Amino acid sequence: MWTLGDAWRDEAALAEAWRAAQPFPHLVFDDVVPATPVLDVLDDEGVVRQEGDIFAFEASGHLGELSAQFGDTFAPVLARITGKPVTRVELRAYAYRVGHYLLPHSDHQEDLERLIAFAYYLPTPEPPRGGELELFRCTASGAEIVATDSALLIAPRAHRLAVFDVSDVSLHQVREVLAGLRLSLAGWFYP
Amino acid sequence: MIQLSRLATIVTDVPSFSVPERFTRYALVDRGSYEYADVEVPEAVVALASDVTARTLRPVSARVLRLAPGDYVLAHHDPLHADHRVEVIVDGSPHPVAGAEVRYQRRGATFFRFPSQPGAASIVERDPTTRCHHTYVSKLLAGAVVLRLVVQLVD
Repeated sequence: MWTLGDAWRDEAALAEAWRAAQPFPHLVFDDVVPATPVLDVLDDEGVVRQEGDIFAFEASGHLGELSAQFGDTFAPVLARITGKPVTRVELRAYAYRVGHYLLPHSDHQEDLERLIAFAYYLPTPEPPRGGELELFRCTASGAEIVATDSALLIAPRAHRLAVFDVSDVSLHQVREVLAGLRLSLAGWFYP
Repeated sequence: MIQLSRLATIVTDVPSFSVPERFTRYALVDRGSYEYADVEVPEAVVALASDVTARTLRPVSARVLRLAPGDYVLAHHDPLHADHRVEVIVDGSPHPVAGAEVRYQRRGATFFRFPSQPGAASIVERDPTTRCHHTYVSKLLAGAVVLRLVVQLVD
């Protein structure tokens, strides 16, 4: 479904950019356009409102076939770029409507093997205001985080793919959507 | 003997509290985003909680929280307590704030909600698995202010 464009050719430069990225390793690729529109594939997939103390959004279940296609395309190249031994993907579709958000968290859990997180933004009939992916810089004293500061905003532009490291300091959030609709595929790369 | 803590209720027409002049911002954003000020425990709150719970309670701490649009307090920022304490939260907000709630959970499941209700108080007997969180205040509610007096009491 996806093909790698010119932006992926210089893997050495991408590896350097990954390592140098602040506040923690990440890359952003624009114009990642699938051969078949993803929304067509998602036509039969329902999303359900979910709410917890850190989130309010609508999400699908695990999308097995789409996960496999996404992983087949991006896992090998991301393994070379990041040095992380990723082979497979688990993703879901998300709809953030007005008032929806995902508060700061790291994705890192000892019992899970999430190595790289990603968000791929889909075209939407009403592009969102708000809904940016926000990355935070964590200041640690020993093992304890003592300060968190906003460091980067990544706008949810259609056909943009954001990939970022998963660690105990990869703090990020999805800012509240203030207008419009934010559609995305998001999940993690695993060994 | 194991004490089972089950009371969780809302009391209306509760006396207001003094709002501190100075607050400190808490901003470790993976735990919470809010302002707080530690205060003396109002005697009236101790009496109210003792009356409602039929327990002889003494104060542990009291703190006023102030949340603005974009603020929240997450559940894992709320420590567990083994002493079966009582928690009273008095809503002193100037106006109701849509969606601004305090939610209590046991083992991850919400069992009690205290919606925005100025002039009311929640009284909850916590057990060792109880956590609470203060829900996100939408940035769409420009000018909204949430003021909550949080009082901890034990036998």
